[in-house]
Amino acid sequence: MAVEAIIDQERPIIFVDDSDDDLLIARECYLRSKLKNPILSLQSGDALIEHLERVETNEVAMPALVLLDINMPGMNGFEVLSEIRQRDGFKSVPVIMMLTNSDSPRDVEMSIQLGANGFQTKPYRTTEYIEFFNSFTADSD
Amino acid sequence: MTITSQVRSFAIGLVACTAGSIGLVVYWGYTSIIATEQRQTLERYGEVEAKRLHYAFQELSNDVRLLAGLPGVRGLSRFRDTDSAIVQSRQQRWKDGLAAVFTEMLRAKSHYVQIRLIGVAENGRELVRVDRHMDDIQRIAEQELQQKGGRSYFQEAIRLRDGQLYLSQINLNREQGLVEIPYRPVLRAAIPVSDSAGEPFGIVIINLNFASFFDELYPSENLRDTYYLANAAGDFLVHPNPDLTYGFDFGKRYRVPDEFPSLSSLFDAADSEETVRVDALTVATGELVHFRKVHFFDVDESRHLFLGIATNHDEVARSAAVIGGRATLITTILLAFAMAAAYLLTSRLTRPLNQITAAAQQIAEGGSNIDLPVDRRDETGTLARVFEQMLSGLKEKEQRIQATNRSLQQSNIDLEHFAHVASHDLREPARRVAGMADLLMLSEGDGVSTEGRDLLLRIQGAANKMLDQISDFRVLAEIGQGTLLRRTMNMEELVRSVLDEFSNELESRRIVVDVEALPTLDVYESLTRVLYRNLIVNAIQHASGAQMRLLLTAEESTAGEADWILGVRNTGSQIAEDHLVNVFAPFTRLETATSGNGMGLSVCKRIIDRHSGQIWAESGTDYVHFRFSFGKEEHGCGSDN
Repeated sequence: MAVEAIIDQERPIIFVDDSDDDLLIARECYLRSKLKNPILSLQSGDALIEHLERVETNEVAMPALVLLDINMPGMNGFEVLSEIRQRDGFKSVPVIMMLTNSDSPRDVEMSIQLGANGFQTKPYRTTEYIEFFNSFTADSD
Repeated sequence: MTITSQVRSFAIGLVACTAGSIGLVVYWGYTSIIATEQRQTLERYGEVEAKRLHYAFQELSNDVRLLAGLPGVRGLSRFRDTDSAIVQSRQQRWKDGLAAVFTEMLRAKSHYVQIRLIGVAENGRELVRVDRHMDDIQRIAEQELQQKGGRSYFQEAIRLRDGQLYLSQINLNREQGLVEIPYRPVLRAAIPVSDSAGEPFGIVIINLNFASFFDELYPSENLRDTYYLANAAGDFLVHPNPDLTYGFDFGKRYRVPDEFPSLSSLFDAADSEETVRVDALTVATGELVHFRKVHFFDVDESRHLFLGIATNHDEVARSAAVIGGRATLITTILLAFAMAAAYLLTSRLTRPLNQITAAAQQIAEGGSNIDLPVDRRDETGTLARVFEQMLSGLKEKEQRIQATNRSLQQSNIDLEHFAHVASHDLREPARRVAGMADLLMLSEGDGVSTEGRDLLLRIQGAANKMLDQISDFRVLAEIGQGTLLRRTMNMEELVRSVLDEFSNELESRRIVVDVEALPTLDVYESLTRVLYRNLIVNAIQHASGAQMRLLLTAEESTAGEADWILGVRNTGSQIAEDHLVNVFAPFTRLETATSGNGMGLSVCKRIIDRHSGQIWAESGTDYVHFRFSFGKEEHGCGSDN
């Protein structure tokens, strides 16, 4: 499921994933895409929440897009999502997209229920991955 | 009928039959005894009465003999000559003497009506005659004495030898040939007298009023019973209905066999006595009639009469009815008790049977806490204990089955979980390898040696294969779960959307794609996508040559229902005839395959199996056509099972 919003190129895109390898792949593919947003990599749900708290106090800017993994130790993606969406101020922003290994319809539904804006299974091929990132730019169809 | 009812009916029936039989036997015995008693009593009585009649006749004959032996008679018989005056006066004295005796005798015997001495002389002229007229006894004067030589009684009596008694028939007296009215039955008893030379002199004769004679013997006022008298031929001389007596004197005979046909043996077969029961409703009721031969003389058995006595036993019927009524009432009450007892007892006996039956039904319906009579010592107890054993055995088996089921379910869950987790856990690293290899190609690809490039490509290929295997494996594993529901799908739309996934590939290889008119069908959506995806992938991978043509076919089946046979047909490849069947087995790869992991087609088969359909391959020169049909939805397979 792709998000149709064109995101603001100034604000950062945050990757949340416990796996170094996945973060690496994502970053490398991102860098080869048309998106030019600054990126931030976090490795746990707690870290994301911490970061968003700093957004609240205006220490840092609201991210343009959060790409959230589901299977993480500690707080998993759904827990993080739920926690965020419950907070005032974060009920509809930022744009959160689940970026996960899973392709199960249950997970898709759960994501939507908990307030995610989108769900994307991590693509196998780099070309697909790059396509995915390109879809957020203005000239994607 | 249930056993309980049968047993009850049998018991009650047996009781009733036994009681009834005993009752009948007793009744029969009782009445037989009574009947015999009645008969014997009557016969004894008859014997006694007959004897009395016999003695009365004896008396008559004695009287006649007595008279015949009187001196007067002797004297008269000796002197027949009537010329001498002395003889005449002596004869007169003798006659007077005789007359006096006759008179006294008449006075003494009220049923004698006439006593005479009749001589043979002068054609049977009466010598002495004394008559009884009503209560008057009169000696008839000489001038009025009659001649009786022509009378049969005289002729028959005079013929007899000395000492022999003549007895007439008993019949009604006649005057001048006509029956005297009022009727007077008469019996004549005579004895011949002979003179000194032994020649017949005359007879002494007594006339007896038989009616009063009989009446004196058997005065009707005193009698409870009915008396009959018949002569030797059977004609009634005495009968409760007087009109039926002395019928022979009026030309119509009324005889004993006419009234009592069973008594004809007395006259035909010369029996001396017989008892019959007339008008009997039962064995001991009705009228008992006894007839007995009575001889006039002890010595001479030729002359006889039949004395009959009839006693009425209808009172027996009445008393028997009363007794019978009481007996029936008591018997009925006892019978009712007996039947109630039989009913209760059999109920008691069959209750355990009913209990077992009810219990068995409960068991069949799957109940528990069943009430069984296990403590009984008889067959029902044995049955109950066996049932109990069976029940516990069944429960045990059920529990074991349930336990097995649970562990199976658990195994299944574990397997599913394992499959899910395993494939998931395998997928991540596989994906990363593929991703990294890709990245490596991208970032360093230009600078890598040909060898190195080749290795990288192989790494990519292997990783991708791994991923495909895993995803197919997941599809395969998920198929059995039945978490999917059929939906009505527009097959054309579905096929086109799958084709879209391959748009790049199709474009780059310049494959010509045609889609025939596809119907709308009830299918498992995601599985059908996988099916088409795999078939298309398979076609792309196996086909070589530039101008490959891909055709998505549809054809309405001629077999029965409006089933559709869909298909994926490609040019540019071929499958040998003997391979066509094997093509769907997992991990079968054909030599011509340029790529692919060998699982795709077996997954297609499983998908079609899930749809209860058919899938097969057709091939010929330069084409392969995979064809399949989707079967009807099975019962209860639409939702989680």
